[in-house]
Amino acid sequence: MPIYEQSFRHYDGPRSIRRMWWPVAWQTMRPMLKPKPLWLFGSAHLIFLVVVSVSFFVTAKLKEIAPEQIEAATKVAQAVEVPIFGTNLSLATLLYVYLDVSFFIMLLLVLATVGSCISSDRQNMALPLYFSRPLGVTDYILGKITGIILIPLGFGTAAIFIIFIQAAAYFYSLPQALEQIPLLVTSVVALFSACLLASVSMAAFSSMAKTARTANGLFIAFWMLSGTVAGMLRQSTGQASWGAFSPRMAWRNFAQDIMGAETQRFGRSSDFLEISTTAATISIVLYILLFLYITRRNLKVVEVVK
Amino acid sequence: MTPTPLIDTDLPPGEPLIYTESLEAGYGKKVVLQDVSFHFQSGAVGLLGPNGAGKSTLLKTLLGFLPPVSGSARVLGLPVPQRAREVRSRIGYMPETESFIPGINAVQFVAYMGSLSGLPRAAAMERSHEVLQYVGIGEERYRNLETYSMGMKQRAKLAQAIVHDPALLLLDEPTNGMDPQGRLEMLELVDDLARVKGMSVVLCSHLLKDVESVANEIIVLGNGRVLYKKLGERALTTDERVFRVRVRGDHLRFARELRDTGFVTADAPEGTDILVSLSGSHDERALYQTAASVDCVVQRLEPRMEHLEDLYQQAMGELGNAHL
Repeated sequence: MPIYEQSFRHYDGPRSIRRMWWPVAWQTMRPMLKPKPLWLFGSAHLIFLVVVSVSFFVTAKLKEIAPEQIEAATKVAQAVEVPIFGTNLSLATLLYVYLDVSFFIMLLLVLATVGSCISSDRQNMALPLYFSRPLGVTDYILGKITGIILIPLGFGTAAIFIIFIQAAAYFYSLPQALEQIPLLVTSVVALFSACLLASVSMAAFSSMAKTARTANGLFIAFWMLSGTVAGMLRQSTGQASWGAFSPRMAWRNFAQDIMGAETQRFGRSSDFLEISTTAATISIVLYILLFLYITRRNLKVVEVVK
Repeated sequence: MTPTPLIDTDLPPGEPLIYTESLEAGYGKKVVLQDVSFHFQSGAVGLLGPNGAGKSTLLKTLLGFLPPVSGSARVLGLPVPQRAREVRSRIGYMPETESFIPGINAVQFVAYMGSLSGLPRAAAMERSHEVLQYVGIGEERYRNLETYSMGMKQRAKLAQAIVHDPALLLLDEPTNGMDPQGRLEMLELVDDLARVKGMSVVLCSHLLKDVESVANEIIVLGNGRVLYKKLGERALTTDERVFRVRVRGDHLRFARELRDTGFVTADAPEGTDILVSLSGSHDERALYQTAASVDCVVQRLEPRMEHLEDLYQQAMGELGNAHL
């Protein structure tokens, strides 16, 4: 029997060319869903959540059974700057510390998993396959960025909610908890901006490179050098605003400001807070636009189908 | 099996599947296609021409990748590149290059391409299994694409091009890198898609044989221009009274003997075959007898297709003369 007789049916089911970026996002996300990176990323979050949960529980119990001793311990804690929730560590600060650590872990996750997100398509000449579909370059880029963002954003949002609910359950009355809702929103905004910075930067470097190794090299160089250069500029000019040259410093400042976190305590430098929120926000927006521009430029259809 | 018209219901009456008028297109400032005009209704058209003739560029222009510098193009009744998205949802494209997505198996690859063509996820997965079976790599469908041989990759590329059941299939050198058996099977598949499954096919190749075996309409391109076109009717017909004969032995003596016996003969373009016209009472057996009489053995005897090679050579010759 000839092979072409074996199977072929015409398709008369539904077709839709809306939201074409979604299959691309799903495909981009696949490397992050492999057990190893998912387990490592998940366990880092889990450890943080367990530590927070235990400290919440212990603090709440101690406050219940020995309020005087806790009062005394609080004074000691404030004196030696040991962070104890509800005394010298606010919910905003706790969430900020979580997001700051999470941002760093997210950069590592992105580095380990999606360096090849666009470079691999270039290397294997898959772009003509994509663009011969009802898929525009914008859909493609949106799909790639969404695919990189979804896992860290999902984990981060879940963690923020878990921390918030625990804090509300242990330490706040309902009206107090409701008052903290804006903090919940600003935390998610800060998380989203961190995810966006990480994803657009990797998309841009991946679009510039033909191998994942090159893309990863550019990614590491950028995130390390931008911080170093920002520090040097700040020192040589004496103007703290130059710190905004580093997207990570700009993001820290932005996140602290919108969340109302107090991180100059616990050994953290207060220099970052000298960058105005406006400068930090502009820096973040400009970096995102720059990376999007680079990605778009490297994916000109006329060029990629040559 | 009855051919199923897929696009006729979508197109206004008389609207060709592909329409180009004085089309000029290229890469940036480099114009590759010049004054390309043709109308293709349906069926299988062969796009023939040497390397660099502009065949791939024409396909990319029809897909809306390259905006025309001047002139116009309509595919499936819609202007490109203005309505390229809708057009692409009903086109299957098999690029010339070795294009694939590493790290996934063939089922995932083809299903992914189906989703990108607008099929729901479940339907894309179901059709992925079917079309991989159809193109002959059903047994190997769970292997990662980077482990495939060149021939299997070509089949996977064909599968991704037909997974969404397109109305029009654009195939750019589909037999590239395939062994002789694989090549025949690939052409058989393309022929089946065009003639039995009712898909219209544009087959782009520099191999006359490939085009000859699939297409019933021909466009010859050279230096970005249409040198020859025969559309709207069957361009290649078999002449049952003219045979292409190749013998083992002294073929010159065989040719002489044929002429002496009253056959009308001519050398085929490549020199070792002889074109023999049967006349009157002569039939194929007489050819075998004549060969035996001069100690030759007939190696090949087949009815000649209508002058595709001659047409091609003539078109290329005209192109050469134009440059002199």
